[in-house]
Amino acid sequence: MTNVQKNRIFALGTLILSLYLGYESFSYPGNSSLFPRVLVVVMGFLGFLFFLRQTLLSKKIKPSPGNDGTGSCSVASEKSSADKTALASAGLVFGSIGIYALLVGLVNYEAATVIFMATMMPVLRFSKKRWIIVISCGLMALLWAIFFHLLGVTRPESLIFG
Amino acid sequence: MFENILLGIGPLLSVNMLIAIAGGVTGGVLIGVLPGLTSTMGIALLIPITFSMPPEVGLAMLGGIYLASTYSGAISGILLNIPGTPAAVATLLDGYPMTQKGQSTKALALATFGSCIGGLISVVALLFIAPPLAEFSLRFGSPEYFLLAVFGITVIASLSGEDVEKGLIAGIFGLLLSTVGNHPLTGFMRFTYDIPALFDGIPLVVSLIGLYSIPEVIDMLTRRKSGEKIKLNLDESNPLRFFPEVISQKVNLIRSSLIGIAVGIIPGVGCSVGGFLSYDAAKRSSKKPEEFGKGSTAGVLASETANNAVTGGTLIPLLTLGVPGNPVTAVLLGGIMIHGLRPGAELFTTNADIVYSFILSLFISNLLFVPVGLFMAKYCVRLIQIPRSILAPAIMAMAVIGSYAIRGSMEDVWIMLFIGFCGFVMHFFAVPRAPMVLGLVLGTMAEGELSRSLSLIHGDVGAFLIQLVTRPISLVILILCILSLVQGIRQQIKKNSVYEN
Amino acid sequence: MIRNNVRGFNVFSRMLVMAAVTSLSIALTAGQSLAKYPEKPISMIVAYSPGGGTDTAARVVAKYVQPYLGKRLIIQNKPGAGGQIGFTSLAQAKTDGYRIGFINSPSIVMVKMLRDNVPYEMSDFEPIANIQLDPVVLVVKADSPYKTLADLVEDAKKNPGKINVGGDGPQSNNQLQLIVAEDKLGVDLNFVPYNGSGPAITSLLGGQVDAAVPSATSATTHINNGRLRALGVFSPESYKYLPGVPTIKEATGVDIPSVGAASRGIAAPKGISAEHKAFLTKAFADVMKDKGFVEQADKMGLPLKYMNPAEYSAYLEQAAAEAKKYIHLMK
Repeated sequence: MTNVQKNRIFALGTLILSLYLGYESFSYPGNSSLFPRVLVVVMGFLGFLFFLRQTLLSKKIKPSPGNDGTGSCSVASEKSSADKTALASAGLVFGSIGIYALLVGLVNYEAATVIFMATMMPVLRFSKKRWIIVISCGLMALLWAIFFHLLGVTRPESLIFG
Repeated sequence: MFENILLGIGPLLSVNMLIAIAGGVTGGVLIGVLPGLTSTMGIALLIPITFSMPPEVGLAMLGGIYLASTYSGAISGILLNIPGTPAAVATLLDGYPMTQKGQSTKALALATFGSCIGGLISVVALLFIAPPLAEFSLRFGSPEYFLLAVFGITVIASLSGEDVEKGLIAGIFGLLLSTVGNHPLTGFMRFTYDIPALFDGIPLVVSLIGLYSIPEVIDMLTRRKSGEKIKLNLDESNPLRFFPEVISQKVNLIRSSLIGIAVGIIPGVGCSVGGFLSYDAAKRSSKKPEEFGKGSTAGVLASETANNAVTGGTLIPLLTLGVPGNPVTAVLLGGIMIHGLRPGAELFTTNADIVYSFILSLFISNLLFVPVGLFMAKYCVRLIQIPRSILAPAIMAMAVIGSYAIRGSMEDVWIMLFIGFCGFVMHFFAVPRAPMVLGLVLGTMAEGELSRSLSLIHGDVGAFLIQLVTRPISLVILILCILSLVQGIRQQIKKNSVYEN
Repeated sequence: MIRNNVRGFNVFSRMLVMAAVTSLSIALTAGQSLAKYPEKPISMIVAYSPGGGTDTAARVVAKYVQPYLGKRLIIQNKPGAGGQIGFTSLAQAKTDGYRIGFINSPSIVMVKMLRDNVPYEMSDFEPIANIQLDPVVLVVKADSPYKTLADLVEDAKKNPGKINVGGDGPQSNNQLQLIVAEDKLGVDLNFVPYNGSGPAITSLLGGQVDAAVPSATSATTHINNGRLRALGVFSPESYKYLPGVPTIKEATGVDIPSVGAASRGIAAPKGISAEHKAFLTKAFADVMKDKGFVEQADKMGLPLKYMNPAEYSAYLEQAAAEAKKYIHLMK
């Protein structure tokens, strides 16, 4: 994806988000939603403006003779592969944190943390087994000491091992 | 008054006092570095410990935590692009690019010395001109606060980078996020979908963790996979070498300190706004505004000097009127009252020894976090060289416990992930995130004070508009808003014409 | 006869066995729970953030009750949604005697009445002890034209809805108190909610509002140093730290129920054993007589007011009943 394409998608996304938030905020009583209503309208307008500007810009760029067809193509494909990796990484991050949070609620904080660290490190191609165990347990102990011991934060409650 | 100051020196020289200050500062630096630990929390949890200490010792310790944690949020911001505290958000705009250029120690040195100088100047203000400033702060009513929030919002363009629309959209999205939860006047619940964790709105620190940690981790993994070697150069220069450069930016230091103090004495505005406003001012008055956002030393210095100057500022209304300006000082007020001290003008006469030794201890704290911070930073700098396969999961684990710890609720972890998703989308589409933080910080104030102003004037919009022009302070802020907007638009036009050519 | 005898013996032996068993079991349970409970620290849920008024009060109590409990009392902050999250988690807490909570009335009943789907009932709580009672005061700036409450009421009758009164809000105990007062006095004031009693006082000090209805604890300093004038305290008896200020009845002659007074006390989830409850009741009754605790409370200006479990239950029930009468005015 080129930057202009990305910008257009972003602008469209903004418009859709504004429509949804607008629908929500206009369903609330007026005296309690004046502020979000105004904001939603402005945001939608800006999204529209940005979409327009980027569309005009993309038309301007295309016919320009200085743009070497092949070169820009390879750049574009390199970019889109980077985008794909970014999306895959995002999936991994959100998925793993989600599972970690569920594990904390289900098993218990200490075990979940060690499991999370010990799984994530090899997934990210860190292969020294002994270090994986040392680092996982060490980090858990450090976080435990700072948050639960020093600051007296209450441990999260869990279903199985409280 | 000078006798009173001298009276304060006595207790200051005791060993207990110095230990308390050192403990407070060290703890504060640690609290600030870790995203998710806030000074509010640190102080609140330490208040019971300070029970049994003499009041001046306990207060000095709490003061040390406050000052040191406000400063040290910059360390993680500069090194990892993850702000440790909301106050550091404007710092990383230029601090992180400096790290990418291999100037991490320089950036840290600028932040440290800037914070120290800003903090010291603000304590001088607290020591000598507190009472008149405090009286002045009382003249801010709802219309003034509303305009102040608007003025803060006009800074967005400055934080926006290339496409100003993107910055504005991010800012408005931040403002919209701030409307989640109950309406400040009617109590009506908006965008809460019956989830109690959202009733009070989205907690700022939780969203800060999501907005910065999550995209940063994703970025680490992406660059890893695409085979890019991310060896950031360690910068092992001596931080003291940069002190003359800090001192040479006299105008910047003084301007930022004054902005910080001004923001501090107005209750309810806070450290992060001080950083943003001063960053904006530095950029506008700079001869090379194009360097901002790409590793400008003036940017780092402006933001850090101002956010620590806010600390002394917030203590002015706190000690002279008993009016806390932000959550930290509200907790600090509790810490003061627990010793049976009652803020007010009398505090400075009847309890002069305690108050002045507290204020003088702030000088020591401000000076002390320089060596402590630089020492810690020396080791923290190595963070950027830790293999990403260890650093990334470690940051994720910290993000989870950090967002949990704020309110002790796992729901906040899910909120953090949601904001993290927003942050990732913004990062993916190259949308700046700082305007969103600004929106989130100022939104409640803008909305609440606008509806409060209207309620105070019984819903008469016309009278409200007249009020904006006839109240002297509000008129001044209104003019500032207009100037800021006009200059912003002008710069935009100039930038566009550069593109055209 | 023989049968009778046998039967008599049977009855006798049964009684004997039963007596033995009961006494043994009493001894055993006494040995088990009275001597051992609490075996580990007890945690106390506080439904507000660390550092706030409720939290500070809770931490002071926690510190001084420790010798009477024999174990530490650990504060567990569960803030959010105006207390709803913390109250809910207390209502649903384990009844093993190691989980208790610091509850605020009338907030706890108002949250229930004002919102849908609040997952607790007042019957989910077992009141143990009330610790403090913080009434609402009506204050004006020291240079205000309102010298007495009568001045304010008179002006309010002339200009209905024009007098701005700041206070913690929206939907707070302070607002409830003002609404009740308006109803009883037949006046119409314009309540302007602020983000807490502190900011309401600040805006009064700056002359942004005409009067304010903060909690007595947050206004006392400003009243005593002469920046604010208290016109009346919404309480049946005069307030300990403001001896010269008339009660609302003395000031107006009208009996206004003090529904807005914020009470803070200890409660357990319903279903804890009678022995645990008795033990906790004694510990908190003792700390309220502790010299160190009372001195510390005086230093901080905490208005202590002890109520035993029966009195506290009755108080909570009455607060709920009073709030119910006026709650529709706040929706």
